[in-house]
Amino acid sequence: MALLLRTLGSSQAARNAVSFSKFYQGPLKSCGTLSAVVSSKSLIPANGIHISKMVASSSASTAAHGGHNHGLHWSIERVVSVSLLGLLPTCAFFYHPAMDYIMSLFLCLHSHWGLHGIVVDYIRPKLFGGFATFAEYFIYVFSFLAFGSIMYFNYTDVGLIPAVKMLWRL
Amino acid sequence: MAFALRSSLMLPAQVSSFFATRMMSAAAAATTPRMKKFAIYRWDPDKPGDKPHLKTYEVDLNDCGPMVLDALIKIKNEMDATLTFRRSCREGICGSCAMNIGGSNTLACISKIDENTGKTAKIYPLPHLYIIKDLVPDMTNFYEQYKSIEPWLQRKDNQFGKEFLQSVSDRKKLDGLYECILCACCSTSCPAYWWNGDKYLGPAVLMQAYRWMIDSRDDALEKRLDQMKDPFSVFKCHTIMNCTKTCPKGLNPGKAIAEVKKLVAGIAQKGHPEIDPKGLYA
Repeated sequence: MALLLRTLGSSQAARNAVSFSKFYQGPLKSCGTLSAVVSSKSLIPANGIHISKMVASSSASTAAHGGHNHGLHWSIERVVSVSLLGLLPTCAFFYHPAMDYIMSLFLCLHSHWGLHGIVVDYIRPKLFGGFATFAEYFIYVFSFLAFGSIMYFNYTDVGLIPAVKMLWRL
Repeated sequence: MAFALRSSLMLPAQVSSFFATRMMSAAAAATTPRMKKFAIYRWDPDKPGDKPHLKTYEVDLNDCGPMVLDALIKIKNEMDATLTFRRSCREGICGSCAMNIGGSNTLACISKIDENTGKTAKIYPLPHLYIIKDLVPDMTNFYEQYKSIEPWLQRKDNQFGKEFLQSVSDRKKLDGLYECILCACCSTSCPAYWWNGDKYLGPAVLMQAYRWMIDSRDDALEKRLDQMKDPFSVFKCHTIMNCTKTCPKGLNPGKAIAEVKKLVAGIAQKGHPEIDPKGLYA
């Protein structure tokens, strides 16, 4: 808990998150080959598709955010990710019932942002039309239900961390 | 030093035998052609019903310059005049000949031909752009996005009429950023840009955005940051780092994007210019 507060309290955590990019250079070598594979398949020229459409939407996108600053969202995302790095091993050694609730919240948030990113990247309105919007809302509902269920489990049963420990013992 | 002395004191007989062996080996190499296959992406919009396909050309490496662009020019001059690609400076400063060579985006003019003749060199246009013809992609969206970040010095007192001053260390902050030639190798290697290229600005444009954000003479920082506050323009970057890996100029757009994110999130600050840009005239 103290660790969590410390991580949340300092902007150092967010700075650490930025320096993550250094770690990423290694494992992403495989992405080079991915780009090669995708590039050979995706190079179908757009017969009859007007490029002007693409350009128009790009310049409009900047005006669409309406005062909302995604920077704060990004910072919170980084803080949650970095604190999970510390929290997950901590759970193996220390336990307090409050940790069940914190872990549930953080894990649900973290997986929600991850899933939401995947949906936004791969189920795009340009390809799927209305289904793309549905998929995005579905992720919100799914994450909310997951969070609710895990909270219910925490409240009525042994709690998340002991449950994982029991599973591990099997 | 001793080596240099010895070699400069070469006897005439040694000199002649040295050149003789070199000439002999060159002659021997010339007699056995080193045929290298180049499989090149072809698509002609003027041929009705033409589907994109790979066409293979064979080039004798003994009779060709060392770079992939040399091979392309040779093919166009001697084998197939219909092959279409962009090129200009042939020394890695104009960015025209950016293409996907052997699976990674780079400049044809500064990428050496793989001398292994058993392997076919595969050449595609930059990935995920609309193709105009063969290796020529449509860069309209990329240039429009570059235009959208207003890549020029902006000041409230732009009627000043004299040059603005900048300290040596403030100028140093632009190193590694201003060298970008906008070849689009990085942006077109980025999956986030492939999927959301209409709303995400991509590494090349974001690095230039950062270049103007941190210029000590520029005072439009707020406006520049405001443009990046939506979830897509900069924050769609997933730190995949393909951009940095592929950059033919050895720059680091991935780091520049991280710095932009920090500025937008308010974690980092620009800081004040070390010397007043208006200097002695103020």
